[in-house]
Amino acid sequence: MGVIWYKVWFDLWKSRGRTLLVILSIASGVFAIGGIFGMVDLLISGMDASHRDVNPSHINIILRNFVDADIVDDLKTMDGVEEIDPVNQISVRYRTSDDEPWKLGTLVMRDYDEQVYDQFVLKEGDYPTGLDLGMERMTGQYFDIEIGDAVTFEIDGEPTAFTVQSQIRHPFVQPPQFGGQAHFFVSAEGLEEFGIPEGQYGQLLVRVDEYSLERSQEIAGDIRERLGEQGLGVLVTLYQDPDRHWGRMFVEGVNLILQIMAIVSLFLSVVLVLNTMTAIITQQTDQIGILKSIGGRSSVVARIYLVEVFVYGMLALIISLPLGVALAYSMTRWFLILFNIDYPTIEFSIRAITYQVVAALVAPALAALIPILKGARITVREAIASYGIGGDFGSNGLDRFVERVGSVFLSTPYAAALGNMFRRKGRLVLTLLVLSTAGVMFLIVMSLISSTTLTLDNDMARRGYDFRIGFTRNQPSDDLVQTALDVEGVTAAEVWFSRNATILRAGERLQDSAGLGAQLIGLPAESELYQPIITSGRWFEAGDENVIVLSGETAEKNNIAVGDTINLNLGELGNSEWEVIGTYRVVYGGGFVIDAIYAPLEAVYDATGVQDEGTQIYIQTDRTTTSDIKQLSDDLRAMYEAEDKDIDLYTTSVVFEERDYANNQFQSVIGMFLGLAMLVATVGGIGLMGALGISVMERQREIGVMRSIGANNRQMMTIFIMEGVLQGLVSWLVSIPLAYIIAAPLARALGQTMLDIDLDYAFNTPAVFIWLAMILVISISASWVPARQAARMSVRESLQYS
Amino acid sequence: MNQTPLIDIRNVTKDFPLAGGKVSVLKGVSLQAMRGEFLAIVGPSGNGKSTLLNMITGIDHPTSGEVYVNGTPIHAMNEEQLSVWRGTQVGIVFQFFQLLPSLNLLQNIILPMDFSKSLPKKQRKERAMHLLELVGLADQAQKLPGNVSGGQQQRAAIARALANDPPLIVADEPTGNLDAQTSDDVFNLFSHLVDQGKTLVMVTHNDELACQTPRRVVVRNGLIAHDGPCEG
Repeated sequence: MGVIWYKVWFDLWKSRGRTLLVILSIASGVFAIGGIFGMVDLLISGMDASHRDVNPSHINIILRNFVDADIVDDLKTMDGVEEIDPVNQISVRYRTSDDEPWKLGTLVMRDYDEQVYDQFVLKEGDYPTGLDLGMERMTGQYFDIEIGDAVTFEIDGEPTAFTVQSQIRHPFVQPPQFGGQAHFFVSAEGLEEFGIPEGQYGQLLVRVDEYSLERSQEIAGDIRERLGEQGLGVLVTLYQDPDRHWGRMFVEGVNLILQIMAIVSLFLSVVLVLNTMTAIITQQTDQIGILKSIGGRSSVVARIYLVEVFVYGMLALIISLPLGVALAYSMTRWFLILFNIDYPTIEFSIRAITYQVVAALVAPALAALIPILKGARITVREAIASYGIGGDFGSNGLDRFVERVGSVFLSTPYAAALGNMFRRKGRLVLTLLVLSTAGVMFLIVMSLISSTTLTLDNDMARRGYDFRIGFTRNQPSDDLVQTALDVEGVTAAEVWFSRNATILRAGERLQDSAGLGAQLIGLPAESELYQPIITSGRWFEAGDENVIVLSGETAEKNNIAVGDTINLNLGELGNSEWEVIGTYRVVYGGGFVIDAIYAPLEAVYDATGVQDEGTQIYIQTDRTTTSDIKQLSDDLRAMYEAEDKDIDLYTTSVVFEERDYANNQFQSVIGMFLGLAMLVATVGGIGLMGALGISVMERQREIGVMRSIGANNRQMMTIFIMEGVLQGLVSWLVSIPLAYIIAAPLARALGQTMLDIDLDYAFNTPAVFIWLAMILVISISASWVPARQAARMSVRESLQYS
Repeated sequence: MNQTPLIDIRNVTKDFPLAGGKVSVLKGVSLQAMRGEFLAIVGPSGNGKSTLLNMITGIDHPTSGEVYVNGTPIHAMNEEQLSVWRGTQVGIVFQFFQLLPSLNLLQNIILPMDFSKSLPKKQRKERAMHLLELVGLADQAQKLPGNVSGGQQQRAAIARALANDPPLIVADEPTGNLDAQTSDDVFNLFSHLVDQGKTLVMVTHNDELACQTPRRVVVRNGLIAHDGPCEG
């Protein structure tokens, strides 16, 4: 094609600012695509690979009583059981220095040399022997403990120090940031120091012959029954998919939303390309006419501009490809470290790179095809017809309305800015689309934050207690209450009774809906310390007998309605029939919670034959700060431990801390969403700058005329800055109702997909004004350079033919 | 001698639609021009002279009638065919020069040759330099249009019009943006081209200039009011 390629080079180089803007806008979308999709691929595959590497168990049974090797061997012979790996895991109190308060931690012991399932990995030192102490890797990082440090445990009320000799990776610990406790490791000899003789086990890691969740639940039920026959109870049953990491639920929900946002970001940057190419074609219409008057065909014209788009895309790809790979690796690494998974070498996803290439080279070309083909079809007459400044504004009702508004309410320069905005309606729509989308995304994310805050606040408001303490064995209710009320600051204490339960209907085992399995929880029918949000039916009343209130999720999953009768198998405490009188809404979901089935305490006593005993105590205090409440909780726990009442870590918690941990899970995700919203806002700002820059170029002669009739620099700048600010304001106005409509269902969907939580919705009104301030900053910043360009243009420059 | 007219316009009308109806700009115009003729088309503004010129170049289509240029029925050609045809059959000189601002003068002249591939690639630059010498701009070859004067741009535009050695040169108000001296220079160049055998049709509002051409066609109210040498 010869010399015409100089035109392409010239166009790109002479308008470097515009070229850079287009490249940056494409690059931002491509970067988001590469980073997010790369992370999705690497993260899930990394998590699952790491999970499979540890030979995960299918069932993790935490026992109420210790069992010996004979019982374990007996269980191994059951149908459906492939193998059982017995371990020990107990709750301990520890501190790392004498002036620290006692903290709740977990102590683990197993046969480290003969690990079968849920395998640990030695990271530093040796597996504990004798009285050695190992620590979990995340424990060391989060709680700042190093090898060689002393950790003191409270054993029988006495402090006993151990020295950390090794660092071990445990594959199934909850991240400390999400509420996970410190984990330590000892040998059998070390565990004896804590009163557990060698050969006694409190936890069973089981694999079934042919894995499915239903098979696992069936075998777990059989094991519970077999143990129950020997008077042995199960505290909690955990199920694991051997191929899918336990943290997947959290990650998958986040990934879906991030992918959507990345696509939206790409879409917006492609819209900018469309906008820009439309403007370029419009600006070069006369050149197209010239080309056609000297023998150039439409195909030649189209090729010229497609090559320009390809160059934009290629340069954007060069910038964004390595950045996308780096982002994917960094985010993947961050997440994997959060889940205690090593990720030493940089990897990249072929799929993500392919998407980036398509996003950079194909998407902009497709978007630009419409204006390019339209431009290529321009006839010589159409192209060379206009010689003047351009007077097409005012030809329709909208234009005349805008003109009237301007003339009535605004001074001439601002009226000119308002009118200028509407001269190229297609470009205005596209620019507003980008800016409004950024606004909508920002408002949605902010509403998500306010919704999570509201949900957590609402839930806290329903809890009349400040903390609860759970016990591994039944405890006399009066003892528990008396001890609690003797503590200064405790204003109310209530004992509840709970048991691991299997839900049955007509003999068929039904699904529970939480990671730690179902539990029947008996509480006083007229308790003032807690009542969940009832979604159907009712809560308890005085006189209720064998009635229960289920979670809405469990009811829905198993097609249970209010009025139905179901059976609960309570292991060694037998079966009993219950009528469903209501369902409640789950607030905290996920893998580390139980599926609670509430029943009146007296009814539970009647059904189980247990009387005046409990497994948890709920405490209300007169304290108002988290630290005071925590201290009181620790003190009371210490008192119970001194009375040989062993604490159950799964059912012990402080309400404030639960709220913080739930909030932490949200915050890390919301931070990502906010980051993406800001990326989209940046794309919007770039788009606005591009649109205004092109506007300056198009109105070169008009600028010359204005300068020739007395407009000074400040006035010239004002016109263009006002145009940018007006576009920002219009986009702000458009985004508010859109966000209001979309945010509610989206926030609920996000809560469900991320954490199995039904969010209470709160539109973040202050965010509307925060966004107003931001859009004004973006608009003014984006307008500044084009406005200065216009102000610096001389009359001679702008009126000469170009 | 070949008696077939180079330009043969037969009873051409041209209407433009307006909101309130239509306006007839050409109302049945017939015109012929032989090879080697130099004619100026003049007339009051808005009376159809540029429209008539556009009929000859194929920039516009007649509402009715026929237009033959060098035997080709251009009234029946589509836009794509016209673009290709223009590349080799007619060189157009515009009032506002219409050089591509992103190419230097030499490249602007090479461009039509690239489109038509009328010459081997290696010869295009040589021819372009020759044409620049012809119009007295050889020393400005590497300059961008924005860096030379209006007169120089117009001469470059003339050189570009000659790039593929078309038989017909059409100029629409070629001196409209030029001073008197430069206008004379351009006119002299046109005369020289006619002497070389080109057919040249020029639209101008400059009656004095028009009277210097052997044939003056006056278009008034969409019809040819006079066709011949200047009166008086």
